[in-house]
Order: sequence, then structure tokens, then C-alpha cells
Amino acid sequence: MTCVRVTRRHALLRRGADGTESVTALAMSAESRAPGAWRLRVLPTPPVPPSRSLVRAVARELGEKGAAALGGDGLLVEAGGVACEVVVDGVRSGAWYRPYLLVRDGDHVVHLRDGLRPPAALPWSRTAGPEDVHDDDPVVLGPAALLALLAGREEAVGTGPAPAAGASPYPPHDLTPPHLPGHTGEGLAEAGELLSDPALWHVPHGTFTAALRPTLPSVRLERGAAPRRALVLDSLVRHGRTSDGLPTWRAAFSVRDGTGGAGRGTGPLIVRGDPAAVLRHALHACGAGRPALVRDPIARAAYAWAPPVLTSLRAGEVCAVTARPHRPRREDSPCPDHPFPPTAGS
Amino acid sequence: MTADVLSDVPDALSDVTVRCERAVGRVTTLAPDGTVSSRTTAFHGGRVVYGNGRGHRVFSGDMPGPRPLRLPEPGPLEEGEAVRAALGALHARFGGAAELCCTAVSAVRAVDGPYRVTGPSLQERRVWSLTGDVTLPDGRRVPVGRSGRGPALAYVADAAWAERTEWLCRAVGEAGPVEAGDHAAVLSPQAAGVLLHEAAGHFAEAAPYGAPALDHRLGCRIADERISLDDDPLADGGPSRYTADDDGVQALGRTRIVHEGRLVRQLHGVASATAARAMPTASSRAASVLQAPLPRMSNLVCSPGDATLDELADATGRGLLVHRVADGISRGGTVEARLVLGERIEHGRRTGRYVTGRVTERTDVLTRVTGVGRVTEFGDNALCGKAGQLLFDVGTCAPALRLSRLRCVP
Repeated sequence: MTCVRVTRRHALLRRGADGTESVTALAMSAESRAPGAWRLRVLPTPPVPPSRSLVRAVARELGEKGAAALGGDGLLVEAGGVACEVVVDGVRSGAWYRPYLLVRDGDHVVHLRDGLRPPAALPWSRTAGPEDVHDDDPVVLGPAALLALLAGREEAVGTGPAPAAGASPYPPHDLTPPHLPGHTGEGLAEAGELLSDPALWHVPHGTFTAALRPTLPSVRLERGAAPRRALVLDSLVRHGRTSDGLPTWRAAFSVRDGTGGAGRGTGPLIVRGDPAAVLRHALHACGAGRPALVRDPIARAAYAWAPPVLTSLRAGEVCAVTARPHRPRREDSPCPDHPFPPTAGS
Repeated sequence: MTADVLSDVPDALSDVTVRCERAVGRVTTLAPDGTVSSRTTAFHGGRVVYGNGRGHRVFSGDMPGPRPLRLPEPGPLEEGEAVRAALGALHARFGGAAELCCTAVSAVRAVDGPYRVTGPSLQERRVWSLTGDVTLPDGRRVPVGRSGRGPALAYVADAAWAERTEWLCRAVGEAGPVEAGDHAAVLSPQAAGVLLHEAAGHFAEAAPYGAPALDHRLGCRIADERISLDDDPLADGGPSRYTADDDGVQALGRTRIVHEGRLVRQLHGVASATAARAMPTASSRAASVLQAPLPRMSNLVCSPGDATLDELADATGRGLLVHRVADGISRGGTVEARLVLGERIEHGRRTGRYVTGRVTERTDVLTRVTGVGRVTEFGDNALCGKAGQLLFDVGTCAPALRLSRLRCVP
């Protein structure tokens, strides 16, 4: 009888924006001698997490590089590595190892790549407050904002989970066991899911459908040019509703200033809009797909790929609460609903 | 590898909380085609939380550092073959229409920290659950949910429960959709327990770490004067039983949370109590030691009234007798549950005409209580999920309740 053993080792060190450091070091295995029957256990020797000095150095370096834009805020820096190995009848049949570095500004994923090399630069050069947003700035949905709206639309219409948007870009959520010719199948996939988190081992069937809920739809849009000047909504978190029933969102944002530079938003920016209605204004992807964080009210946060998307909306149409002076729209718009034509390619 | 992690605080364990666990488990699944499969689990690991916002460490295996907590092996589970045989018998009984999952866990958990003046708490925990569905010939599904404390086998092989479930399936098979709207209602103790749990119990839980502060709820009327509720981790016969919570706070007995209909105390862990400047209520609970504990209920106990079920139905005139609800969920201002089986009441008498649907109510549904039964009993399903953590042992001991109205939809 074939004996399959999948071993997963997972170690990470996370330094929060406030300097708090947390470590996870887990080693687990799943062993099967008969179809559908798994023996799951933790291993006594957990892996070694990355050194604190490495993470502190990356945080310090990025903080110095982005001091003008961060304005005293910190970045979340996480370094880690995940290793997965499959042994069949005592023979090592497949393995992978993914070291990675994650940098986040709040929920905005600034950097998430395999390897421990930090980003050369941060995407902003200065801070920008809500007063720097002009009413006629075109609105770009950042990857996380796009996924938040898609999830909000699905929640509103009550559809079931959509197909997953491929493998998670976040290595600890990569549940794929190494490819095994002749040994792939549901059983091995189940073992991969269970090994992602021992807290799921005793959860009864159907309670949490999987380690990661596959609620993120694939995003495929035609690629177009990015506007020179834009309000970029980096992430959106549900905030409430306006008196006329429109959902409101707390936005992390940045402002492209038309000169190639960008300012990182620092003030509170509340935007309004029904997810489906906002998504109907999507024009085209204006950048390559990037990793994005999506918070889930039931399961843990997930990561997925999504592009930034240019919409036909203007900042004045979506901003609900602003501390900025009123800036009238231009009068020469050809479209009464959308006072300005898309600025793609301008 | 690990020594450097705790070397920051070699003699300062006074502000470090350590949670360690050894657990063995078995999850046995019955598929509609009669296939029974299982997985066994053996966990050993924990979580160290450093005080003053210095982060935490999650580890598998032995606790790292100079002062590791040593844990004994958890007690053995019953024979897996016996559970497989019992599930196989249920397959035969339900004619291949059942899809069930039996989970059994035996664990030893230790907590040490600033609230442990007498050393680490060491507690054994043995819990089980039986969940899934029975599919009726017309395709409708009747949810199965049981859980509690102790070995699983006796409950999986419980002939009386299987008979009740057969009756429930037959009744649901005859049931029509409930009329949308408000109904005068009598809730069985099981159904009353679900609404008390969702509308009052979760409402009383403080937010983790005290944010957002919910103490403005204190003093609010959330139920009729007839309703008083205690949270009691030591309640006789309750599914939950612990002498110290997952912050290490000693549980001394019951905590009155609703007194004559008004919320008088919140359920707190150490972090939320500190934020609210209140006393912890030994309510900090984590499904797994790898997860951060949250303020949670233990056993919610409702004081009884003086009416029999027949008297409650008699006083209702025309309405609904709610036999069973499932999948209760609290969304802050609203409470929802699946109406698994209701029965129409006409002229104060049960009619044998059954309905199914959903209950969609506001959190203040219990202010419409107009009668309380004299017999209280613990519900048979003590599963409670919150923030991705599933506890098997959150009990509710409730009497039957009469409501002036209950909103239902098909």
C-alpha cells in the first residue's frame, strides 16, 4: 500500500507598523496509507524564522526612504518562508520552498515577492491630504479596492463563492502540494489545505468551507493607459451608509499629480457608492496585476492578484466626506452623467 | 533558534501569557454513498503573547525558552472503528440520505500568565460534534447539529436522538412554507436557546481588545422583565466547563449579564476588561491555542418562568410553535436563523400542520417575550462560531418562551 507523507514548514517574522514583532514557526505533516484517511500531526522541530535584524533593517531602510511620504506612520514588514515536501513510500518525490518579503502600508500591499530583497523604492514621494483631491480627478480603483467592491457586489446580490483568482500570491496561503505524477487528486489537495493551519484540523465539515474561502473572482480587463493625474483608491473598508442608502467606504488613497509623482493619502477620505454601480464605471486596467489584500468577515484575510482599474467616475462623484475646498467641475463635459471623458491616453 | 526569542524577557514572565496545548482528534465523515473516511490529528504547540504590545510567537512542538510548560498526554479517544460503525448504522437508518461528520477532540491546555498567581492552569477538554445534513426525497435538507462535552460515541449511537431526527425529517417532508410576516409564537426550549444565544449572549460579549467600546450597551433593555440570564462556565450539565479561561483568569461561578431584561454586565477577557476599566469575567476563550482568545459565552442560563408549554400555546391563540431552528447568526442589529420546523397553532391548540422558512428579527426580539416556561433544558447543539473560531461547547439552558410576534419569511 502506498504511503504518502506531505510535510509543511512555515516560519515568518512580522514587524507591525507600530514596531510590534510577532513570530510564527510551525511544522506539520499529513500522512496517508489509504485513500481519504489522513494522519495529521505537528512536528517537534519547527523551522527557524528569519532573523529579527533582517526585518528591522528592511523596515528602517524603507522608513528612511519613504519618510517624506509616510509622515510618521510605519510600514508592516514581514519576512518568511514556506517549505512543502512530499515523500512517497520513503522516497522524496517533490518539494518547493518559497522565501518571501511582504511590505504593507495598512491594507495596501506595497511589495509582495518571493525572495527577501526589499523594494528599491516606495511608490510615493510625499504626503497628500484630502484637500489635494480635485473634484475632476479621474478615479482609479487600486487592486484591493477593486476586490473589495467585487466582494461587496457579491454580498449584495447573494451569489455563491466565485471561482478563485488562481493561487494566492502570499506564500503562507499557497496550499498547493508539489506536483506528483500519479498521486495528485482531491486527497492531496485536502492535505495541503489542512496543513495551512492546524486550527482548522478539528473544524467539522461545512463550517468553514476551506482554509481560504475562494470568494475572489478572476479579474480580466483590457489593458489601457493610465491617467496622468488621478485619485487612486488603494483600499476600501466598509464604513456605513449615507442617508439615501448608499454604502460608504473608508479609503486609503494616493494622488497622482500629473508629473509622474504620487502623494500618499494621509487624511480620512470617505467615499460613497454602490459596489455594482461603481464597477459599471470600470473602463480598463491601467497597470499590471498586483497582489492585494482582501479582508474577509468570516475567514482570515486573503491575498489575490488584481490590476488597478481606471473608471469613468470623478473624485467629486464618489467622495462623501472631504475636508477640502470645493472645486467646481469644468463646464465642457460632453457627458452629463460623467462630466469628463476618460483621460486614458491623455 | 528559539532561545533568542524569549531571551528578551528571561525574568519578566509576569507580563507574558503562555498558552500551550496537546490535542488528539478524529474527524470521521459519512458520505451519502456510505463511504466512511477519517483523519486523525495530533497537535502540540502554543502561543506566547508578550505584554505591552511586544508581539507574540506561535510555535509547534515544545514551548521555546528557558521555562517551558510541560503538558501530559491527552486522554485517548474511543475506538475509531466504533464511531465508524455507528455512522454506518446511521447511513442505513436514513436510507443513504445522510451526510454526516463526527469530530472528537481530547486535549490538555495550560495557560500561564500574570493572572495565574498559583501557577499555570491545566485543564483537560474533551469535546465532540456531529454535523451535516439529511436530504429528503424532494431535495430539501434537514440540518443535523449536535455537540458537547465528553466522548462522542454515546451520542452518535444514541437511538433516541436518531428517532427524533427521523420524526423531524418526516415532519419537514410534510411542511409547507411559512407565511411571510409577524406571527405570535411559542419557542421550544431549543429554539428559545438559539434566540437567547444570538440576541442576548452575543450582544453581551465585549469586543476583543475593547475596540470598539460597547459599554454604552450597559443598562439597555434587551429583553422583557421576565428574562434574566447568567453566564456560568461551571453550570451543572452544561456543555462548557472550565475553571480558568484562556487568559488564566479563575472562573468562580455565574455572572449575571441580563437582569430583568436589562444588560447589566458584559463578558470580558483581560484585554477588553482593561480597555473598559471593568473586571474580567473569565470569558476569554480560544478555539485553538494558536488563535487569539475572544470574549465568548460559556453556558448561558436563563431563569425559568412558571408556565407549561401547553399553557403558552393556549395563551397564543393563533400563531406558530417553533420546534427547531438552526444556523443562528447575529449581525449586530439583526438576528437570523433557519426555521427548521414550525407548527401552526389555531385556537390555542397545535394543528399538526408544519412549516419551514427563516426567522429574521431584530436584536430586541426578546423584548416581546410574554411568557416563560417552567422547565429549562440545555440545547443539544453547543457549536458557536465567531471570527473564524469554532467552539464546540457553548451551552444555552433555556425555557420555552412565548413571543407576541416573531418575523418569519419563507
